[in-house]
Amino acid sequence: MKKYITKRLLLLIPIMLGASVLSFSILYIAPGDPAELMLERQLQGAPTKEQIDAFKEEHGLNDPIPIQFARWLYKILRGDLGTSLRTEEPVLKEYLNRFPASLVLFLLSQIISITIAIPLGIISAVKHNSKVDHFSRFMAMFGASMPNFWLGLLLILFFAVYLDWLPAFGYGGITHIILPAIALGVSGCASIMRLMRASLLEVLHLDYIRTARAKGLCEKLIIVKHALKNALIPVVTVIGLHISHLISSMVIVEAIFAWPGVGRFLIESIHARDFPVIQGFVLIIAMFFVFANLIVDISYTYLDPRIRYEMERIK
Amino acid sequence: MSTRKKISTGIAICLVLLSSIMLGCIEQGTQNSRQTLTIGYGKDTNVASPKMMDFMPEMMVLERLIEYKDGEVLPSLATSWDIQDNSKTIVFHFKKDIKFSDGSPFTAEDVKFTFDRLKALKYYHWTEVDRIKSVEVIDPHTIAFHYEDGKEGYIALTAFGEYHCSIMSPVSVEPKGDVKEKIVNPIGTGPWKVDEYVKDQYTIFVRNEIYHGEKPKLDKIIVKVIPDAETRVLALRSGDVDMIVDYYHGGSSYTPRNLLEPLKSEGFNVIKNEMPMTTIIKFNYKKEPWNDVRVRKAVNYAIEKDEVSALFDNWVNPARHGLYSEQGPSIKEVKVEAYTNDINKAKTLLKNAGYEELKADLVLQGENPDEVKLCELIQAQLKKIGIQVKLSVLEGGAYSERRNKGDYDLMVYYIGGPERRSYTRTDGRFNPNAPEFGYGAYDDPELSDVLEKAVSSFDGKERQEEFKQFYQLLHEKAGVVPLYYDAVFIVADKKVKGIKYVSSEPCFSGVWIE
Amino acid sequence: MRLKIVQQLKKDKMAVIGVIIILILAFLAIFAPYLSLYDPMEVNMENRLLTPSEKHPLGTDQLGRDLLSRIVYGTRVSIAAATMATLMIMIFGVTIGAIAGYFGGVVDQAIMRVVDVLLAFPSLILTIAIAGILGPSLMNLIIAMTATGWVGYSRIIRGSVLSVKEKEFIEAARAMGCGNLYIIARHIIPNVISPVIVIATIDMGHTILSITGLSFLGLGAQPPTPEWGAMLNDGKSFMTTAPHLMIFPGLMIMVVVLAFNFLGDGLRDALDPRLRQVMMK
Repeated sequence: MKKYITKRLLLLIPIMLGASVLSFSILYIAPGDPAELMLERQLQGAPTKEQIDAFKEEHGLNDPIPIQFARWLYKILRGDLGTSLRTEEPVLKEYLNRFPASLVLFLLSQIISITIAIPLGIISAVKHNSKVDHFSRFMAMFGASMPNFWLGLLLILFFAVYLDWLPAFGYGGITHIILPAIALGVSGCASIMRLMRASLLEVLHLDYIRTARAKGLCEKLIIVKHALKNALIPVVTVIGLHISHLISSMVIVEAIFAWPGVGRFLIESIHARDFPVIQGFVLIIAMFFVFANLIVDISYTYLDPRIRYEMERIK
Repeated sequence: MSTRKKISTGIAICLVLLSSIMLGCIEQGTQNSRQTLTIGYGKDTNVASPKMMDFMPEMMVLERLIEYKDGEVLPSLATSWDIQDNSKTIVFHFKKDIKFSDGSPFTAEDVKFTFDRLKALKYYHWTEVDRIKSVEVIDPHTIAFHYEDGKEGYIALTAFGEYHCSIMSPVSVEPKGDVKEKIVNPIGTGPWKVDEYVKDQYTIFVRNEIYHGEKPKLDKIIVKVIPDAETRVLALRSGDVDMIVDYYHGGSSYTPRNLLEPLKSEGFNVIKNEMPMTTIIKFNYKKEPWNDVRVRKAVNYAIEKDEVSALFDNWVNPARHGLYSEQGPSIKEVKVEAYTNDINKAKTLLKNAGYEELKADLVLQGENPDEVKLCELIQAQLKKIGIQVKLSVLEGGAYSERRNKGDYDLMVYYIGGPERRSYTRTDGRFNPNAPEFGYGAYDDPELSDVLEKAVSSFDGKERQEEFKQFYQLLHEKAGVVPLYYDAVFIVADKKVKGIKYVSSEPCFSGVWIE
Repeated sequence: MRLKIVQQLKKDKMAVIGVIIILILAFLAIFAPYLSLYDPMEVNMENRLLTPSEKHPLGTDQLGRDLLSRIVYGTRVSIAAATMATLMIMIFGVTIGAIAGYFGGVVDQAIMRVVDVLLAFPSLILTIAIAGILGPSLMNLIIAMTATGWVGYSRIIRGSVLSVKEKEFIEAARAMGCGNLYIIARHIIPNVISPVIVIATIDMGHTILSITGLSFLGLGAQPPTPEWGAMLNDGKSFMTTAPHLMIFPGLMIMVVVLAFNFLGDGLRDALDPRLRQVMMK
């Protein structure tokens, strides 16, 4: 197990290096002169030629690209992701300021997804091919097809504007997080629910469940005690895969609900061409994603004795 | 229960706890005492800033040497001024016994600090501040600005009313008095002072108890940052904020015009302030066919300005009297002609110029949805006279690149700005010798000659005469297409009383809550 | 194998519904000029923001344009863009994957490392960043989606190529002196393409969601193009005064995505286990 984790961690090094090259190169695919645009924003008016030159000098934008990259990487290794051109604050600080808001939203929507999807999946599998099954499958499909930006707007329209039950935007009490978390959580339900259903169905046909049935054990007990445990294993992977989708959706949902998280700041920075922020945030998000996947993989191997066995055999 | 299950239940409980704790931390209690006003605003006030603050705190916390209001230069911190040395030197005399909000006296040294800092930060674009050769403290209540040869005159005087020429105490920056340093807590002589600031979230202003003028009625103003316009409106509706305020400075963020009517009918107070700021179509006037005055006139005739203001539910006025609304320099005094919609005339002009059909690339920035709709409307209107417009909605960098390279035909642009800026902005848009002209709207040697005289003369009558000529010439040359006169709005709850605009800026000193 | 899938699909009610909806939409897209009552670009300021009526079944937008006509034309834009994106992703993914699998060695290693790196990013985040920086337009969005989307296909194709490449008929072609490119294009790709087409169909719903989502953020289709995501973005400011502007485009997106998901789900169920295994990887 330890060896496996070490190996996985070592494999991360080239990936992170590649990811940093990619994040860095974002600056160079851009049309236009970033220095000029940033200055225009900063000064709230047109910069002069001298101001542009001074700015380039100050930020080292005149050096050859490999040197700029080397300097960038060196700084990153020391925890310095540069300074936002827009706010003039360190990028890392900007990220950390916004991360809690995004994390809360992330966790809550994940909880919503799971609490809706897993029971529905179980019911669907147990009452296989019943009306309940068809209905919940249809609902899952519906949820997966619902554009989350539209769902977000509809939620605002009904719960905030017409009914006036919940605040439509922003950051504050518990009530503020409900709508964005639902908008984000619903689309995730579908895949989790489908997999839960499929994997439980598969398990229910396995020999040991049949044996348990033959022994005359109560159906509920079979499901809860025997089947569920094994059926949940692939679901964990899907939740892992789901993280990519979720992180991406968060950008849109945060923008709609004015949720002061990482995603909204990233979009604002993209519109403002705040390159250090775009580069830094893309890199941090990639890192977060890579580690989240690693944790899911490791917990998966830990949970599933078959894989553990496989691994030991390979060794 | 198996161990694994226990662990997973444990994790789930932890997650729930963690998220509720985090939510608890970020919940910020906002108890409204009776005389607190909460404002929803589209951007951060930027009161702790490496360079400059947003104009709102500048207006609330700081004051300027002079004010420019209703077409006149008025005393503020300076009670009087003399123009000396063939208008190469301006001397200001200050009021005595004025104190900063921290109790320290206001002197000429503070003024010098403010302008030294502007020069050190090279923060003087588009004003005449960059032509200041030296700042000389004559005595604690007198200061002289010496100008380099060239551009001086009335325009230089009005520039002292600009936001960034607001006077700040040297203790505002850290280390104290260092002209290259960040503002940490702005200390000024204005009616308000900053009490608390959380970046991108809120700023709390409290009354400056030792203000030398009439003290505000409110105890406290909370400015909440809500970047999205629609969410700002929702915040007003839900009572989260008492008032939402537009800004036009450093980009713009307006209350969606189409929501003003519904808000009004819901009982909110909608206060409009028209500015000497006009949205125009700018031609690539050095390039064919836009260098032909007949083509430019044709476009002027093709535009139906009433439809333009209908797009904004008629909350803004169509540009019926030419370049500026009544707030523009000398507009009230002189009569200015304007083009009215006439498709046939437009077609004839185009034909005379030798064009049956024309293709035009209209370049615009996609940030402001109103502007996008406006361009779609222009596209439809120009189609009627045979000009096929292609819209290029560009993102900031690509936009400035196209603009700088001159790779466009038409562009939606604006001239003017807040009243205090009307001289420098007019100069900057139409005079190639102005520092701002890299972003000009139109130029012509004859026109810039007249304009240069118009903005320089200290004599009011002379200025009026020159401006009259300037407007007339611009009309004849059809240099730009004025579309509508921009306005900013405050939408406020009925209980908020005494809101007014002074010049182009909202003034909160007379506001109280019923 | 293909026949089997079709037969299986016919039994799946939902898949059939999906196919019918897609056919209707394709019909709308092709015959849009004959089916819409008005020119989708025609501005009429006297008729702005009308609620649905007989003359304008879905009402009009803020420039007085007929919403129904815009939605019908929007079918064209959205489906064309999604198809185009899918095709580009497929072409790139298949080519790169085939090259990696066929040549092996250093080429394979290099390509697979790039794939690993790209897979380390949540793809939409990277797409948003690239699209935003290239400047918003439908074409740039498709380029950005291609730049990040090809990796999945490459992996699948590479695996398939690896298993096909040692087969006898390839050896025979090589013995006959056929060039590498010819072998890849003529023998390898046709043999491994079916799973790719199936996966592309399954992904179609997701692709449409991405395009409309990014257009909604202002990073895709530009005005006055009647694209559903952009229309939704326009309509959101009229949420309280003219909710039809935001309800109908959203509904259309959902219906299309739902149809593709029905079909995709049916395909997934109809696939033989071998293919399913390929996909699981």
